[in-house]
Amino acid sequence: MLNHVNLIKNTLLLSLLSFSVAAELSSINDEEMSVISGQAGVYLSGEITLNENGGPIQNAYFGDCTDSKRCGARLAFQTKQDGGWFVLDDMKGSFSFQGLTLRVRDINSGFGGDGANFNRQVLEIGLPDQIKVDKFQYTYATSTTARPSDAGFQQTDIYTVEIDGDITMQGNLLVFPTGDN
Amino acid sequence: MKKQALLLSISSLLFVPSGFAELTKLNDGVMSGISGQSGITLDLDLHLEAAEIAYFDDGAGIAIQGVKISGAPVDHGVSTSNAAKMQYIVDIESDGSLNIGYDISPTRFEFSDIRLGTEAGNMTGPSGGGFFWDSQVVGNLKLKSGGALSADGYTFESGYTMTDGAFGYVTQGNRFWLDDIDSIFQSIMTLDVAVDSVGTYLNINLDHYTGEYSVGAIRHSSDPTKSGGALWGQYDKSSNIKLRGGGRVGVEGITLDIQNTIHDYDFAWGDDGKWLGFLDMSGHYNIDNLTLDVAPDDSGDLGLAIAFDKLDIALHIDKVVLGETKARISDYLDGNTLANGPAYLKSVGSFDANLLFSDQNVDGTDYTNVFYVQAGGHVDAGDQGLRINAEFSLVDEYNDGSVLYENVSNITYAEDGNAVMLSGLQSWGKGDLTLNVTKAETLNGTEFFDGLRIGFENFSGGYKIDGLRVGANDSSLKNQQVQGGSELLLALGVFPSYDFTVDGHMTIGTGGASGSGLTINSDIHITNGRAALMMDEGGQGIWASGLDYDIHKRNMTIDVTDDGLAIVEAESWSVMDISDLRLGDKASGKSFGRFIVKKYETGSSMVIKAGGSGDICVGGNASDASGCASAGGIWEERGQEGITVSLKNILAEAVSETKRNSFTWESKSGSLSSAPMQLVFDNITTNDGDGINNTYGIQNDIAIDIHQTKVVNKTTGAVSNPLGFAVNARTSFKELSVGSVQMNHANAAQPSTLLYGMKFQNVDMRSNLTATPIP
Repeated sequence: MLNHVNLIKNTLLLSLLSFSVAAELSSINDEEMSVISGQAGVYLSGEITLNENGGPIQNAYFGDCTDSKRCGARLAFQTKQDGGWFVLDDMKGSFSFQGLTLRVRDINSGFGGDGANFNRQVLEIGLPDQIKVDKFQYTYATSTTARPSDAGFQQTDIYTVEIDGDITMQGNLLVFPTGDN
Repeated sequence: MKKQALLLSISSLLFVPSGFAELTKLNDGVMSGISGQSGITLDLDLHLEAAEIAYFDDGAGIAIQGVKISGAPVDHGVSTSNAAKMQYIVDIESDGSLNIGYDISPTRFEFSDIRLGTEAGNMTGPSGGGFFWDSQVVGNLKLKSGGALSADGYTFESGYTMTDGAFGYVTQGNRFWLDDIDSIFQSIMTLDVAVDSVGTYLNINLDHYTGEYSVGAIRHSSDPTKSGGALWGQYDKSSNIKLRGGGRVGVEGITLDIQNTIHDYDFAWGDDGKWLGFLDMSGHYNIDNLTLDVAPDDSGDLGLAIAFDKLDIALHIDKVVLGETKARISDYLDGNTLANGPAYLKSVGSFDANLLFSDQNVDGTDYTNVFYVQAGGHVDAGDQGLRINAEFSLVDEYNDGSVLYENVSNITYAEDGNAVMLSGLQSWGKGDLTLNVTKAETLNGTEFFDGLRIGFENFSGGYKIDGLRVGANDSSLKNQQVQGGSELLLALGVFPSYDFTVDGHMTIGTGGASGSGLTINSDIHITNGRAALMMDEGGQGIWASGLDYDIHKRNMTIDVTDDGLAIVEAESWSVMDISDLRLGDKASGKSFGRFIVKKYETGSSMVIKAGGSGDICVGGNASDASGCASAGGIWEERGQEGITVSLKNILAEAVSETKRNSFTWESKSGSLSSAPMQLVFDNITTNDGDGINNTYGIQNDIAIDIHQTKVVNKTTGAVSNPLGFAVNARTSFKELSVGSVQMNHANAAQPSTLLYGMKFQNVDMRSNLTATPIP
């Protein structure tokens, strides 16, 4: 489960494209909650679905999830000039959650006394207690070309991951800059 | 009126020899409409020219020059020397009222220049440009003694029908005009001289004046065959004006207190048979202490100074409809059954705007409401043009001297009975606006385009909201808890707070993607910008500060289509440079670093459609309620109204250092020498999955509704079902390609390449997110 937590944590960090930020999971008790002031914030519920019925490309490789073709999204990247391609292929599935919160929080107390020393603001991403994952999957592969439609395309699938069920995620993700900017 | 000195300087007035008046014998038909005493008929052929007519106030004047009244040219083009033909029938009726019937053949009133100065009859220098007004009018005016306040006043009963009208603005020989104007108007106006605690004033009252108008086309002289679309409106309004002598500057001028009530107003813009309509509008706009002076601004430049203490606007728009025919709109307004389509109008929903303009202090700077209308537009466009040295102040709270009113400015959007309010709206700004009619050419190094050019010169301003309030569309909405949610609309460029200085222009031309419509060309440069990506009530949030945003759009067409309002860009490019992305306080918050986003798109589009998500299955893949339940989802019926915005962004191959798609993150953190390090995602493009064609782009459908959702208090576990701000988005693209990902460091001879290419293919991502306050 920790891997999944880290996966989401990394996804959130990547979405902010802030590689110098520090992030940690923490649990806020009532006392700490009481020192949060001037907050509005937002409570988000809903779902995110990826390629539930396939994607916009329909060709010899990509289908609509009703045939033998692959219908998920495909990410290929090349780390060496003129080299091969790492591939995350056939990515699809859905997440639904309740209670993802976003707010800016001023931390100046708590955390065993560290809060007073910390004394700064963070972006608090309150994790939903449960994330329901419905058949999320991807295949890790290597390929000779970026696109399946390119000439000379050959791909070797290495392994496939499928996640189905509920993930319990409690606590908060705190994101804050650490540099001198 | 004692303070007021009005000097009309008619320095050269020429009645040409063709102008004459005669008494004629009334025929039987005319006589049958006249009771009481016999009247007088005046037939007039009028060709009038005046070199200058000026109004002076404390020694400074504003003049219209080249004044001419003549017969209107058939095509509303260049004026002729023909005389205008007019007939007036004057009669004293049995009740003692004076009745004037008039029939005015196509007539042009025009003037070539507006100038400001201190010398009557000899004003020179920059010109505000010229205006022309063509009309053919048949009407009647009845003057009776006795006003609204006393028997000493007057009552004017007026009604007319105008046809074949045109109204245009001219600079440097380029004309922009409203063509083929028809209108009807009915009013009863009273005039009284009265006294109150302030002094003597002229009371002008119009109770329930009504009218209807239509504009056949909006045209520009570069290609008069193109149309910017048609306009239509009808109204029922009341106005009361108190006019006093003496302005805000010196001892002369004019002061007005105006109260306007909109009982009913319908307005629509049509484009090739499809219309955008604002229907069943009502409300009021009241202005306290509106003053008119000819006075110098802070730089000593003369202008017509229009200033007011307070402007209070309350406007309700009952329906905003998109892509409807005029016939269906008329049937709806007349209460008829709708044919040729659904039984309801395609409506986005309703809007309410409460806006209060008054003085305020923002971050140590005082703002008021004053507009100096001056001669001279953009300096490179020629001598003619208008310049408005403007300062405005929209407040979120107002103290009337005894009570502090909060959240006095807000905008509410309601659909299917639920509403979201942009609460605590506050805005301010000062700087120069310019107005020119231009044609496509380069003058003195500045590129101009065909159309009406609205320029911004060192215009500094900003806005902010406290947040959103979501709830039922009733009086309880204002008491709902302030919440976030605007974060869900960042893709549409909606920020909860934005400060900026703007320079540049937006030129509005005629002709759409096909047939009628508008064409926009613009170059906008925002500097010293600061935008909140998210913000709470205390002003804490994520801030894009030190924002420098240079935006260019070419041949962006705006059309009303079956689908809605379609905006298509032929070419656009921009560079957004955020010197610091700050967390917390907008000025002192720590920074994540510098971000530079370059965009270059060809053929991108946006379509705004009426109707939101409709019926959807949240948490399942199904198209009906039973199937949704079987799939483990929740079936939500989000109603007929709502807004859907469909975006298509086609990211083009890089052609220059600025016309490219790239994303750069720069930070000095972690560097011993504090030299900036950069992570660069360069040459980001889209294609149709084949690396050749590029027509699909990134497609984003964003549907906005207000709907109930389930909320769990994480501390207590209590469950509630409040209304939330619901955004249903679908993002898809065939291929998003990144040319390279590189690391740059100032001390390194060469950048380090992390990735030599990245291709993201076949993506169809859907999200249903509902934002509510944190319980």
